[in-house]
Amino acid sequence: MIGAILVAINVLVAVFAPVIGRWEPQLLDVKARLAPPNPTHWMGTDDVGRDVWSRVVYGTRLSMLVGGVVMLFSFVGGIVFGLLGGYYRPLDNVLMRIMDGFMAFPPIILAIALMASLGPSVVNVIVALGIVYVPRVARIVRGSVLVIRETPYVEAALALGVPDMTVLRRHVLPNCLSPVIVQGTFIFAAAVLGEAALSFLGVGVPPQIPSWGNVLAEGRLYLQQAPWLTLFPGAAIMACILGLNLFGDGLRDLLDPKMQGVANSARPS
Amino acid sequence: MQTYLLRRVLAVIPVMLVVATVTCVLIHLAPGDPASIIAGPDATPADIARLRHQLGLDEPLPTQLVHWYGRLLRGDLGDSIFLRRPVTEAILERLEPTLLLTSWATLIAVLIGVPAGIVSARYHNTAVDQSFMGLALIGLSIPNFLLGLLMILVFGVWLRWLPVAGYVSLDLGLWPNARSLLMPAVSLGLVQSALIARITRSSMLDVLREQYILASRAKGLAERAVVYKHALKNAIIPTLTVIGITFAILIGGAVVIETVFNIPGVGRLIISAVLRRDYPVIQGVVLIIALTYTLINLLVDLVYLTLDPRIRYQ
Repeated sequence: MIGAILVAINVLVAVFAPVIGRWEPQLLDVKARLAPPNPTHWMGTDDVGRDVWSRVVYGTRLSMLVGGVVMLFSFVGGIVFGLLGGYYRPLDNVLMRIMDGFMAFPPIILAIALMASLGPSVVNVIVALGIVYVPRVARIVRGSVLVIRETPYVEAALALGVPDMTVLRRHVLPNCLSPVIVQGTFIFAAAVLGEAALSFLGVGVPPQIPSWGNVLAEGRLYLQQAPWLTLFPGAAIMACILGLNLFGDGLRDLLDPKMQGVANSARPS
Repeated sequence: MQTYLLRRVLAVIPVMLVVATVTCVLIHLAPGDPASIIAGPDATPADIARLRHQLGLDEPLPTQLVHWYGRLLRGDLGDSIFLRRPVTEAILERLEPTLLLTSWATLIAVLIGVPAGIVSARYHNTAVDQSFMGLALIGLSIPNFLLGLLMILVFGVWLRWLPVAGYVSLDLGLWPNARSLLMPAVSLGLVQSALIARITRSSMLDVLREQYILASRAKGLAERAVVYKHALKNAIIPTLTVIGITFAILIGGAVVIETVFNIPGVGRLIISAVLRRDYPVIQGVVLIIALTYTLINLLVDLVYLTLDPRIRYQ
């Protein structure tokens, strides 16, 4: 419940960022550089006088965008590969070896390597993190498909002469969705963390775009003079990830009672 | 058992083949000509051609792949463009801080996570359990680099107990070395300890519901003996798997933490290589980390096999 509320707040902040932000995130208030939190700049300003509140608010928007799109990307890719692999045995061997290969890279390392080639941009961060999480979704889907394809109702559908693609779409897919949906919130959280880490390292979103990772990277240089540059975006990340983890745990208990109590939350990079 | 062992070891080969292929193809993901991107905007066409030849980019992709596999089998990762020396040398030189950091972090994660998990399970659904699990959830929600920054702020800047950043080599003594790694290792390990605590707790809870636990309670064993002698032995197996993987996961995390604390390890090496587009270094580091990750996973599976007779006889 708390999780759902935290997630809802994040989504609302993301949607209404221009209203809530109060300032343009790029606007330079040169007279107030590194200003501590005050009535004009609620969370203070950074080294060039940009409003931290507005940058954190727009950072929320970016994080929600990255998290959401990476989740969808990994769903689509993972479901396609998982269905094909689980259903067609000869294909399975090849597909799963490739997925295993991708999963042999620690997530953040693969993301950094991909970003090195793709270059810093929002789209590339989404593509890189999407590629990281597709094999993970594919594994889950494949696992469910292996069970479902042996069930009598699939056998019955095939005996009636229903084409493979229709069986996959109408009978197999709907039954393997609930573990994927549960995993979705954790992938969302992992993608938000991934984007923050990549941007913090300077290989994610370009520095001029407000993102939690970018604000933290700047804040690191002014930790002593301006701790608000670290504390506020840090609190935003924590609230967001905590909300997603709580929401995911709740969703899992609701959809997948067998998994209850198994630690499965997003592993921070 | 032996066939399983063999199958498990052989399964590493296709994985490594995919890893090697991905790292080789990586350079071609860049939009445009990789050689001119690496050389930079000021390079002359001759520079670019030389670089293209040096990296073997003037050959067709299948030839490049075959050459790459051959070099890997000889343990040759090529030369760094920027550092002008073999990549293997550069990595070996940076290995000490990363390995020490990861080991300390794993130790911290285990020392906090396992006892917290056991205690939570033993006092299931009490205030102790709930506060530990609440802390674990918060722990899982803090990115390690943020925890690092907060620790620098509190212990380095405000309290001045520990150095803000930097690394003291092991050559200068164990204590100064450990002191410089304390905050980085805690910020890396604490997050992982939350995961270990949750898994230890849930596997303990599963075991505590077993019939033999009921039997040992019925025969009047002290609760302490039930939990630590009978339950723990069986519950620890899933935890051990996670601990093994923890080391592997933390190698990835170390990349980020090294940047936070300015530690000259493998992580700093790859980040500076990315910023300079030094592809041979990027490829080398990524390959070595993936290799380590895979081998640790294999090792964990094999240890698992020897520890749990139920798997051995299946």
